[in-house]
Amino acid sequence: MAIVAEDKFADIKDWFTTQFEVQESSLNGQKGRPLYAFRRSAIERLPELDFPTRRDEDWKYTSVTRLLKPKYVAPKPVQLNAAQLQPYLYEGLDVNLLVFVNGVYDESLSQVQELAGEAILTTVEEAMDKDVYKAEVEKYYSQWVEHSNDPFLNLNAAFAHKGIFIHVPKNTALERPIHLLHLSVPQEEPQLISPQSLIIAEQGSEATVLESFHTLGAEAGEPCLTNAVNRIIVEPNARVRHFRIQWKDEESFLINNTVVDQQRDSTYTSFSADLGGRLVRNNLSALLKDEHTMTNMHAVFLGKGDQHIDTQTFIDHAFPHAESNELVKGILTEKARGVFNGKILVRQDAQKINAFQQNSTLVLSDKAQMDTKPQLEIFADDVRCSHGATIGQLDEDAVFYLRSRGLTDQQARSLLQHAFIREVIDFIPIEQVRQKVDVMVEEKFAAQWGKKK
Amino acid sequence: MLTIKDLKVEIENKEILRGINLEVKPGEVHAIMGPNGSGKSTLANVIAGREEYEVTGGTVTFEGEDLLELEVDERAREGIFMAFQYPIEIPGVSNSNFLKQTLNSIRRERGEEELDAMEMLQLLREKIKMVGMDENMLRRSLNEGFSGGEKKRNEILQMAVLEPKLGILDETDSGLDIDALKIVAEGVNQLRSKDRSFIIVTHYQRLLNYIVPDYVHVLYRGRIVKSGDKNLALKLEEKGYDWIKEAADAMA
Repeated sequence: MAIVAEDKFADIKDWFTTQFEVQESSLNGQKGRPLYAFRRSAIERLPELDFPTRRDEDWKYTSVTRLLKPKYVAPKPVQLNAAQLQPYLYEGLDVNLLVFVNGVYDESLSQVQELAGEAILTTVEEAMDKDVYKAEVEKYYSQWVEHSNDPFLNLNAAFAHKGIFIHVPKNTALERPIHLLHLSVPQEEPQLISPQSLIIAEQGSEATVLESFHTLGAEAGEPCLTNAVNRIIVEPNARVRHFRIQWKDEESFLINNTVVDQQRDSTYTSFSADLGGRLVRNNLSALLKDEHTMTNMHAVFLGKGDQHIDTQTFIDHAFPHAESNELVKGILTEKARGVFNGKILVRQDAQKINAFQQNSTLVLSDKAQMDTKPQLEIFADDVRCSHGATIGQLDEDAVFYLRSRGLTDQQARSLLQHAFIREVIDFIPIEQVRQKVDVMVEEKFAAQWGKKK
Repeated sequence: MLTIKDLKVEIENKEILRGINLEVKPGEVHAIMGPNGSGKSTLANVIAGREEYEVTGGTVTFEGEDLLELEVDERAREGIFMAFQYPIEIPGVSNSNFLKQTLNSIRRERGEEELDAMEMLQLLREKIKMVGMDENMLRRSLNEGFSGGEKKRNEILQMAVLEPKLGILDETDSGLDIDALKIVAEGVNQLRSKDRSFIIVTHYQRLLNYIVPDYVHVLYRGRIVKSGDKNLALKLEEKGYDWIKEAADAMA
């Protein structure tokens, strides 16, 4: 007798399918383009895919039930003016700016200058239309649409408005970072926002991508779900730096899936900061496909109130002579919860690996909670792997010491928290970004103390 | 400046100080000596404002104000500074950033203008010379990885920058070699003035060769059992604490 388990998310899948048809019916004459076939197959596979539950080991501490409760609709375009963008720009940093409002690309607010060499910055849609990129784009796109087990990947593919395609040709260095600025403006109905990017850095090339996420006028509408996907290919000897700065309102939901392929001698360095969000889930994977790769993942998260921030990393060492470094630090207060799961797989052939991982969290109140799980699976015998996880409170002796020099209790605590986080922030190699993140961290603490007072 | 009357202090229901009387006038240097466990450090820490001690009796007034009513940071801003016996290492907070924040916090309290980055740098350079430290120390994290001697010198540097009215040295000399001791003492001597007072808690007379006290008090079992001038310290060095203990025990 077959046992059919009831899918508690069946209704929400139906809802998304219906929304997809609504979206499709509004398209005029675009349905023939290759991307739209992918979008349709993405949504058609949705019913077969299971949304994770807490019975799944990787989702033990994070439930998507709350996140899937709202009846999301396709995002509404909203016209913003340049002044409204200002607070979210990195002053003094010369970038190629791409602005997305409620997930919809806004050309008038974006500032794209000529790129070095033959580099391409366009939409996934247009890239698929061009013979040169078609095969490559379709290859990666079909991986996430047709072979994924993760319904969030399919939702992203089905609903992404304009996925971004960045192609950096051989031996070309993109001088200016590409800033993908995602602003959401909540509406009466909850919106599903689906940022998407496919980044290919060819042999010997260099690129810097900065994603940032903020909310305007959170109180005026329903919280959004931002369901982002990044697919990054770092070819031999290429270097990609990837920043993700997220300070959305504390009611919004965020899912972020980033998968990085690294080829021989390549370097991928990421920094991510999560300050906002009601429920945040980050999945960051580096799949190392050849020797001599270098992977750096740095992350900070700051939670207060009812925030829940979950960071999962996966580093797949399949080849020898590689190095990976992970440093993840967080501060939780009030009733906030944090999760870190750092998986490192060192396959049998991956000898002479250096893998380092550290997660440290300050838990500042009785009701805040942190779950951390370093997960090392090592099948090679000549490797150096170290990992550590600490969960603690502020050192009261240090607080006393600072106070004995004239700082108030709040100043002392704030200084120590900031110092704790700064160890990670110091890894940001771009000064303007480092400074802005530093100020954001300080402001988040100031808001925290302000509330307490 | 500082008046302590019949001060009684307990920690975890154990009486440590059993009625201390001490008067420190502006410009005076008082040395507090005594055998281990006599309550010297407790006295220093109670004046500085450490919270785990329970004051069960007596009063401490500082410039006419009830000191025991003030929090540790309020005391610091009023002009009390204690050089710690074991300075705390604080990773991620640079020495210079820390000094800037604390000095400006104290200046605000005094109604003085905050120093800007240039003025601050100038001041720090001048003070750091005084304690014979390298300017690199300013960029390093507060006390992190400092040797014992560097930590103690850093305490004196902080004192020199913050310019307190009352400086307390809690066994600053223990564990120091003679060279480091001389530098620390020289720093303190430069800070001596007719308005600034010091309480120097020490187990050994050696430091008092370099910082010459006006008064020496011997603490034993929570009481000051003998007071004198610098010669008392020399006598203790020569004869040890036993004769004091015997005399005090006989009285009790």
